[in-house]
Amino acid sequence: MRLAIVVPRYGPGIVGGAETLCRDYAERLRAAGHDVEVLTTCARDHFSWSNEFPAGTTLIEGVTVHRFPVTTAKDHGAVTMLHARLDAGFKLDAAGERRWVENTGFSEPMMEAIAAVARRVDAVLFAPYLFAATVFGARVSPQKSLIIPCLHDEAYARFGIVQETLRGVAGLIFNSAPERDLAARLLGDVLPRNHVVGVGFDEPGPLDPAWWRRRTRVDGDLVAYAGRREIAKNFPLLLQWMTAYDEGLSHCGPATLLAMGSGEVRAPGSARDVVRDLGFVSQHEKLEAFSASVATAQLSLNESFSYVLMESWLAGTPVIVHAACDVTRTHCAESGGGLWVRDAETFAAALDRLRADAALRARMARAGDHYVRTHYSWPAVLSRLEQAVRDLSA
Amino acid sequence: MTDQDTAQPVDVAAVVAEIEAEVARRRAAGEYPQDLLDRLAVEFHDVADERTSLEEMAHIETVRPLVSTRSRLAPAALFAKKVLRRAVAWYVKPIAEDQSRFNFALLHEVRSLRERVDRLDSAWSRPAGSPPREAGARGLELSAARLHILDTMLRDLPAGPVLVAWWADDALLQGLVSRGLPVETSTRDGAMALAARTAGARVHDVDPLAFLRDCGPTLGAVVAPGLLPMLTPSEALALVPLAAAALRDGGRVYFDAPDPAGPGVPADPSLIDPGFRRWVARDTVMLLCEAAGLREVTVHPVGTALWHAVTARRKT
Repeated sequence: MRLAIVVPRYGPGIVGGAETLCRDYAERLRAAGHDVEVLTTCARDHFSWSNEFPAGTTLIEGVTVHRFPVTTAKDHGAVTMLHARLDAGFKLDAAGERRWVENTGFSEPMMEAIAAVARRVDAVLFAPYLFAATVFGARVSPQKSLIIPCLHDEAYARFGIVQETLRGVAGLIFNSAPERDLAARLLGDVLPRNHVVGVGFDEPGPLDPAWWRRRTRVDGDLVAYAGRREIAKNFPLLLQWMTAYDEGLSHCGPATLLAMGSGEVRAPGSARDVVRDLGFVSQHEKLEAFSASVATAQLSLNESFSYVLMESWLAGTPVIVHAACDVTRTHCAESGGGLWVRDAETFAAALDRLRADAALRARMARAGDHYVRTHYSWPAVLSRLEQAVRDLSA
Repeated sequence: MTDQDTAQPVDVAAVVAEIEAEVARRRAAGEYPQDLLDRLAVEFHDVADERTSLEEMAHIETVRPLVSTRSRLAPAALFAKKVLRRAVAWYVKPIAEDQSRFNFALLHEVRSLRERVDRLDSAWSRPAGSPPREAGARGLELSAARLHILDTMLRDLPAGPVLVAWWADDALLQGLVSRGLPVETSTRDGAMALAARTAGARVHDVDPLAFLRDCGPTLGAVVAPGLLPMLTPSEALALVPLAAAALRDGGRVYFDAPDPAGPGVPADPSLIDPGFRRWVARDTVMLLCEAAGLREVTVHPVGTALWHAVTARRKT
């Protein structure tokens, strides 16, 4: 197949779930013998959208990458004003929505390039849903456009301009069944043809939790967290529940929260002894931290897939998720690899149970590992992706 | 632990159910330190609330952190940026200060407006010091005219209380109680509650909208004389469907208001009653009743006054 992938930011060092997904898809599809090219902007940072990479064509891990300059410089004042409206719970009018999207890395030359590339490929894949590259780019040649929305239940997903784009394309590729259910709720009866594909994972390689503990100098039972340390991921809630656990809800003594990832750990005094801030760590170190922990906690409600769950299971550790997140709860229920909790008390009881019952922990980790290998090995994912592209672009 | 132990599948839904049952048992036994959970909720409130405040946004900083992505030239680039920043500061800073002053003045006005709107939206109480004088036409006994309509309307009610959601003249309440009807009211206004109890009505100490929302389909009738002109648009839109939903099958509603199309009507409805904010036409009340699914929507003149009453029945 001849495919183009359009993503607003691309390359090594670019952080973000959808960006990583696109890079994985591009490299794996190319390795599987498909003709793949990537269209992206010169931006590295999705807050400033300033052009940091040179425009032109380069080769990254064997994939041809065309970079185009962002031509609508971000109007920070306008975006702050629009954000203030959204934060206050108001909706934006059509002009406001358009203005918001135009300020997310709009590139005029990339639109022209999409029109040209659409004539010579079987399908153009766009991800994620909320940036100008997708919202405007997928309208250039909608009959060839397939969107991988990586959808969250948030204000932007209710933008009329976003929903029009999602409704108008040839097909949608979801990361999970609950994400597809969310799209059906948002788009009503006019959900385009779609497939659920997901993300693939490789073998984690040998992990040595004992060595990692010695090197990092941590003792006792650990609960791992990896990802953006911010409110959108419910990290403050996890800190609060861990502190409550430590200060009175635990029946098994204290445990330490390992906080890995980007963002500042903003914790009040009572939480400082509970959390160990490891900052940004390598992929291998993250997996070793998972393997050294009794559980990985992921309380985020804004997930369309959740890499962390799969990585934790591959590292041999069960997970604890928030019951209100359909995506992570479904993964846990289908795999048998995780528990879901609703409040500080159930979180504490679940953690106590896992700490006290090593056999249960091992069985859950094994069930999770089996789930990842069955559904999210790269051969399985690539096979579903190829099938999805064939069906939806036919 | 053997391989066989770990190979058994896990019914995680059952484990979660056990955990939830255990937590419910401990909660019932009072084992959880609620003061701890309450304290942490407060302590973490600021950590969780990362939304920028309007005050922070209103204040404009002329200084931003300086960064450079050039690895070798970074110190020189940063120095050049600092020099540039200082060079233009004499021009940029006063403009930013002017803009900040304007932003804060605007914020102050917005806050005042919000407080005014909140005040207007919140109170369902008699204007302080205002004796009931909603008739607006001397010599008319408005309560007697209303009771005349209600005598007919309330004749074949289903069992259930008659909720008087508002009244300006206590004579109306006394008249309904004296007819042997199970009269109830719902008000947060102390003076109105006292008057209602004195008249022999049962009083619920909640806002009428909240009462209607929570009482379920238990009422025989909802009587709201002179209420609609006092409400905000959102309250008026909410009131009629809530009243309809609170009625038993066959129950009735009664609304009345001065007629804006009548002769000699003052320009400002507050000249009829200080609590009146707007005119409510009979067509509007009929439309609200029909939209709420009520039947037998009927308009009645209220005595010889400029008032009209709209009655309707719930029929499933």
